[in-house]
Amino acid sequence: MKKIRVVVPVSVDVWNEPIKELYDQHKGSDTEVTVVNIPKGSASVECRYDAGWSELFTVLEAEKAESEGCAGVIIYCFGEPGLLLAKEKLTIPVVGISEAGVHFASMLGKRFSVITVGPSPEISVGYLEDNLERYDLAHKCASIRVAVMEILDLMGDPEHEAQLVLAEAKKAVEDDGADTIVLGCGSMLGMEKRITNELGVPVVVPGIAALKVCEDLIEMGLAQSKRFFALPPEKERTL
Amino acid sequence: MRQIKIVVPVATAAWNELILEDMGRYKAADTELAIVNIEKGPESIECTYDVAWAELFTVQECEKAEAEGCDGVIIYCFGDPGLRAAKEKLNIPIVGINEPAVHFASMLGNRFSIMAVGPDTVNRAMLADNVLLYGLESRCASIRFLSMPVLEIERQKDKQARRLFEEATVAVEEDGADTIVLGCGSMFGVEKKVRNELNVPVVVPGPVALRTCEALIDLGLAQSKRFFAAPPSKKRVM
Repeated sequence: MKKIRVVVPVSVDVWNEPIKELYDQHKGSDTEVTVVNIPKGSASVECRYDAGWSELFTVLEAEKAESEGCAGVIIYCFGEPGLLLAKEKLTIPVVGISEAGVHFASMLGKRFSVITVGPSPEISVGYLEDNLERYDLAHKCASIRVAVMEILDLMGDPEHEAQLVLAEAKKAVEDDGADTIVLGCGSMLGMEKRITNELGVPVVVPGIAALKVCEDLIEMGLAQSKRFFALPPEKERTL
Repeated sequence: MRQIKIVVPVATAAWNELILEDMGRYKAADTELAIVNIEKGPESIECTYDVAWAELFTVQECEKAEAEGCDGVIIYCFGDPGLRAAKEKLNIPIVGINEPAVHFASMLGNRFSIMAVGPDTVNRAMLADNVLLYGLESRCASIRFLSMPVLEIERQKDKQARRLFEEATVAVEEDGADTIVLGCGSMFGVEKKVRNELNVPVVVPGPVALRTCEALIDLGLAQSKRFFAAPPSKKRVM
């Protein structure tokens, strides 16, 4: 039995149940998934500043997962707050949904576009671009496009939000030259089929890609390299 | 039930049983594996020239797999011969064993080294070209070579394991690699010492390809037909 802990790095629990449902649909039969959000931090993660608010609490949840005997951890937010820190501190595999999503997309075509949601393109693009630079996959990215809305609205009017996302995906394919789409937010649940049907391109759902990668790493006895993500030294750290 | 066909792009059946046994350990319970080698072509793939000899026959086996109703195909050689051509021709997901391995390695650390089998002088261009094609050159610390013929590694297992450990040690200590990728699908069960004594993850390409193929099938994903568009119909003679 593989026990995977999903840490949702926001201080609200509204996403826990939909994520659990999604994962239960796609997990292997011998995988057990538990989902927690962080007790403090930002209510949603839309920019580097939000990530700063969420990082510490996210790493602490990841540490808890390891000490409770989990075999792997997924940080469930496309901004991946705390991912690199958790890779340092933990020895079990830690997977972010952006990293897994863009690597999958890179195997499917030449250039992917990330379609995300957020309050404005200015706020989201730079933040997500930082991650692509870190993964050295910025050169495979045709564009990052933002459907302008509040992330929490994704819970409200799914049809209206789907139209906005679809419009941006269409521009990505037709204007920016993307051959593959990556959904740039873990909360865009169930939009992949509509995009594939209308635009004829593969759509990578990053949360599911992360689940598969995490299961694979556990199965193969792999985790982040401790030569690059060396353990932090012992010292007093106060909160 | 997922049906996956493994195409071994060499004109010998010598590896089929070993590969099937190894992959059988990693497959999901509801995956059915079949394996076939190509009937003509080179007996091993160690350079770009060999790739050219293998490609056409490999793609044709892939086409046959799709026609037979398979859900996915794995081209089982680290040179990924015929991979791009097969991605054009087929609609079901095709994975090579090099491409998923270097992407996985990139998720585990900062810089990986590839441990290839054949001699440096022969083997380097083929492997360097693939890393470049996949856009991960910046993550590749080095490509190192056991300098043994592929057809000898299984017969000389001790030497294979020893050479692997020697080259991996240099990769980690001198080239700055934090992750090791085995650069041949025929290196079975030789990675433990590297893992344990050098404290680095070792990515074994065959199982990674298998699990990537299973994941793509489960997710209903395959290569983008906007980039790998279907080839036009025409007469092609052989």
